[in-house]
Amino acid sequence: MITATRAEVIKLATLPSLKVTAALTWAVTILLRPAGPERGAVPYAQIGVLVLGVLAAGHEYQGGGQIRAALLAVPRRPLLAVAKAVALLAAAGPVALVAALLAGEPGATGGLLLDLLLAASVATIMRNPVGATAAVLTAYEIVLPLVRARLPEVALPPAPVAVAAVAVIATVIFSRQTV
Amino acid sequence: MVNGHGAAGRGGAVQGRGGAVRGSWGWPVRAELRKLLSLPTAWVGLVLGLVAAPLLVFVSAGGTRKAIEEGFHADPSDAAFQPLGIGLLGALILGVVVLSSEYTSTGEDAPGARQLQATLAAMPRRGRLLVAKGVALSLLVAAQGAITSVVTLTLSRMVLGDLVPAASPGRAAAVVLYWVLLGLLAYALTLIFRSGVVTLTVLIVNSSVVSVSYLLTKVTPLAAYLPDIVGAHMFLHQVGDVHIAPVTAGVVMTAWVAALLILGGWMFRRREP
Repeated sequence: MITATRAEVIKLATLPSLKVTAALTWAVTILLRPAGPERGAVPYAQIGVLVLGVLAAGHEYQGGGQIRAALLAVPRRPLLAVAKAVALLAAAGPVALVAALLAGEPGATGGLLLDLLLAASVATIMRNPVGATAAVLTAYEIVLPLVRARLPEVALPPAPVAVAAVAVIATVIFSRQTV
Repeated sequence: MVNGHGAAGRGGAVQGRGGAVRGSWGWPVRAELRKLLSLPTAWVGLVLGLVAAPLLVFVSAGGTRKAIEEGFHADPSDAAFQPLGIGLLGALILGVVVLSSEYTSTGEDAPGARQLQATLAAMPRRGRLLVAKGVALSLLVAAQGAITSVVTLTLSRMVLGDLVPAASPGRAAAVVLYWVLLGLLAYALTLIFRSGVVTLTVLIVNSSVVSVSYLLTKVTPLAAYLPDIVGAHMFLHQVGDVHIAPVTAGVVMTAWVAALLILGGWMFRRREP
């Protein structure tokens, strides 16, 4: 378990696309904060964190099918799924924390970590980074605000419950699907 | 079909003859159209674009009616057109996958081999390939936009009744133009970034409530002329605090898209010599 997690952390820490995404997230958060957005700079940090989650989970399914090498090394899929989640929180968690600090709202870190897990779960289910980016961003930035504004009577589940549900679905699919 | 005309396209020697030129422009567009329609993600974009706006009319009927009665809309005719600004997500997705699909690998065992290599082997003229892709995309998005705007405007009229005035054909045509231009903008940005994730992130975020372009209009009114938001002035009378005439908006957006397409085409030719 510890070895698998360490391997996943190394994998995440050496991906250039994740470094670029983290740097862009911080840069956008810093640059937009002075413009005084209505809901603070956290929503912009959130976008970067969502993309980070999608790329962290989705890179395994890009050309080359790295996921097969990963499964060859760690054949127990539920174990690999848990190791991946822990590694994601360990490697990308600090990115979310720094982004929240830069936005001036350290308390938002918890929410950003949930967003990170959700984006990674969706990418694991869809196995296509472009499709997962479209799905996650459309859901977060367009569908949810619309539902909140236009259909206030619809009761949305609390974020931790929703994220946990999607993560469990992703783990089950990941454990059963052939790659 | 591709094999039958492939020789004419590859040789390029038949360019001079009028008939051959017309024929050689037909098959690249047909080939690109067929390729685009064979992608699952493209169908997601097509269906999403067709369904999102009409669905929004139903979902937001109550809120819109209240907003009009309370005088929230300075111009009630905008209410019927607003859902169309959201349905264009489908056009964005089509504009991205028409190119990003070329950069995915052709097989799990050959990660270095991209679809693009097969495409360029069949159609070596870079300029013609990019034009064919742009034409195929425009045709598809125009059809999608035309169907969606007619359905959405008719539904708005049925749901909201006399609260909204009947839509003029000119404004409906402006919607279709806006969809096509946004699809081409997504295509141009994908040419420049060579990544579907970056383009989708930028354009989806900018069409949402946390739009960076809209935020910038509060810093400087000039930001209203940014490519992704200026186009909405073509069919909405009230967008933000800045007023731009529909024709001006159309010209500015077309100029942006043309400039970005030229830049993207130039970068493509440099990267894939």
